[in-house]
Amino acid sequence: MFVDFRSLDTSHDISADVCIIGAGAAGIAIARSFINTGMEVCLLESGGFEPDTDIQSLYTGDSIGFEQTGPVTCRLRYFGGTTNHWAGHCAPLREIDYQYRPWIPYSGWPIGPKDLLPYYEGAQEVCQLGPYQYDMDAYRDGERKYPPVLESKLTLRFWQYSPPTRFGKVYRKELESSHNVKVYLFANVVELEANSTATALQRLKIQTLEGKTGYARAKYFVLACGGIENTRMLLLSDKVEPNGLGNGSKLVGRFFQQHLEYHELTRVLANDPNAFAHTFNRFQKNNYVARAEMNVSDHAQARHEILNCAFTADNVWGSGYHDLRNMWHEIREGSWPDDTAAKLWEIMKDFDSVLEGVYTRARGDNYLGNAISIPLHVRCEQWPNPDSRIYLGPKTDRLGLRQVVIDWRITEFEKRTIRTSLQLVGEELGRLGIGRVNIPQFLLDENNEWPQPIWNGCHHMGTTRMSDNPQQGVVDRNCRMHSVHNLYIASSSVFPVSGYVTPTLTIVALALRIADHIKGKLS
Amino acid sequence: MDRRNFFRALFRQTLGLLALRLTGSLSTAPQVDEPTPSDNILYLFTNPDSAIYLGQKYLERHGGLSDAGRNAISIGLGLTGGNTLSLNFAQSRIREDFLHGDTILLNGWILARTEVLLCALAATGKCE
Repeated sequence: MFVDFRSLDTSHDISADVCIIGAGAAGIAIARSFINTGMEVCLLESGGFEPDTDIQSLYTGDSIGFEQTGPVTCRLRYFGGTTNHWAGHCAPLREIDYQYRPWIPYSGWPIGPKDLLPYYEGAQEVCQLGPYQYDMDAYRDGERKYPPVLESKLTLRFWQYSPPTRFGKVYRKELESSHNVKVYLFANVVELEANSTATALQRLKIQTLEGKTGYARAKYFVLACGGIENTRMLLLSDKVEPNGLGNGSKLVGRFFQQHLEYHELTRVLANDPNAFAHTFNRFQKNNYVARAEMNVSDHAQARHEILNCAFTADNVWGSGYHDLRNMWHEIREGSWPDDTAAKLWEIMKDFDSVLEGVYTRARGDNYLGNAISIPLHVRCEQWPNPDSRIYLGPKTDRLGLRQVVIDWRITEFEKRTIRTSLQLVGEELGRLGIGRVNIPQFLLDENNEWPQPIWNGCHHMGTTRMSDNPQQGVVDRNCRMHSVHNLYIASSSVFPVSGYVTPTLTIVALALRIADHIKGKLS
Repeated sequence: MDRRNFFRALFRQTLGLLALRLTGSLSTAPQVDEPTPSDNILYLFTNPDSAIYLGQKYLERHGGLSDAGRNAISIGLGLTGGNTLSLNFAQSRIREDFLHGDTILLNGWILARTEVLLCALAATGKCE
């Protein structure tokens, strides 16, 4: 059931067994799992069903660290959250990501892959993916022939692609017809009110942009607002704990991580460009789409003492075909394309590539045009650096709440990782007679200079990190706050280590695990 | 294949694409028409000028190649006493280099030591 909070009486109070803040991937996944359980659940969402400039502006903040895509652009503040512009890349964390790696400070998760496996399988369904298959074994017998890379250097792994699932659209009807899950729209949570010892959350204060207020009470609360906003909410709730709720160890906001991505880090001068692209481009497998990548092997990571990093081939398109493809995707999503005139003009100017691209796609091949080299796309994890952080600045938003300041820091460690990883890829592609790889000059320079634009993936992680030790983490292994016993956090903000894979599948898996945990408590 | 033909093939087919990349004219590079087996590493080698160019880069960095150095390379590659150089042997050496990480970074390119030394020999003009 959906309720417009603006239409309720002044000082409306909500009461539920579970109250979830934020209707993005995590919040909706948890809410869905409570449907027909007999437990009363409320899901609070700041926005409505469509984007709204005023509501979106509540995300405004400053960025003083390494240049990045801003906090407003990356995130979407309406029903479905950031899944409304999610690209759909899915893969689970790699096994090594969970491990303590002595060469990476603050590395390791308190849980392992076995703890998440059943929930990953559930997350596959939520994200509309195929079976849980991400390793070579599942793809070996397919029509594609994969190069026999050396395990001492590289491992071939796979991605799957969600349609992508727009959680707000796909699960709207299901939530609308639910009797025990109520979704409150236009309900901004402005404060988490704790008891006098800050060991339990008592209620949430809600406020609309028009000034209407209310409260939500529950036995259990789940903060599911994303890696930046979760931090902000905790830091803003400072009436009992001056440093912010659950921030006794002053870790909230620290260890801010994003992924480092270059869509065209360099190019592979391939012996057979078509074959190389064919190996690493997306393909249809049964009822889902997958793609191979070259991941630096666990062995090589340990030997070279580097972070986790992977490469795949990017597509090669002419500008006209590229714009046509983008327009088609936007129209299919139900939105009018941005810069329509400019795109149409580019399509007309580069009509050759449009014709060739459409024809080749119709034949089911990858369109390469005249390319003799193939772009390499890199994804690299960032080490959990306590100095990379988010905190509250002096500016306030329309609700009078202090905005965030993001001080994102990346270091030479990430640079060395990409350089070393690229060397390993170059050695293997050379050995296998596939081609030659060039290392861009900036990676060879012994400094921390990074060319722009660098794509951070808009994956905000690490700011309420998970640890068994309250002195080293904000939440425990069940994503429950160490110091606030009825408050859970569902987001990539709990990732102590990010790995290099995109976080959505893991966010959903953790969300389903939280839901199970709370159900166990309630029953 | 004799040494002359080997180098001709090497120069014709070798690092031309690399050189095009290095000189920034990748977009005007001709499309390759005839696919060759993927294990033929020499497929990349298309342009003698490029091989010489890369060889010169190597020599500049190392202050040239002494007679002794050139001899050592020649002996290592079996290029002495009028021996013919087997393409398979060269390919095998190049693969071995990559396998053991025995590479040289030349203008950013990750190249096998053997192929770089062949280019260096070519650049000295005394390889035949």
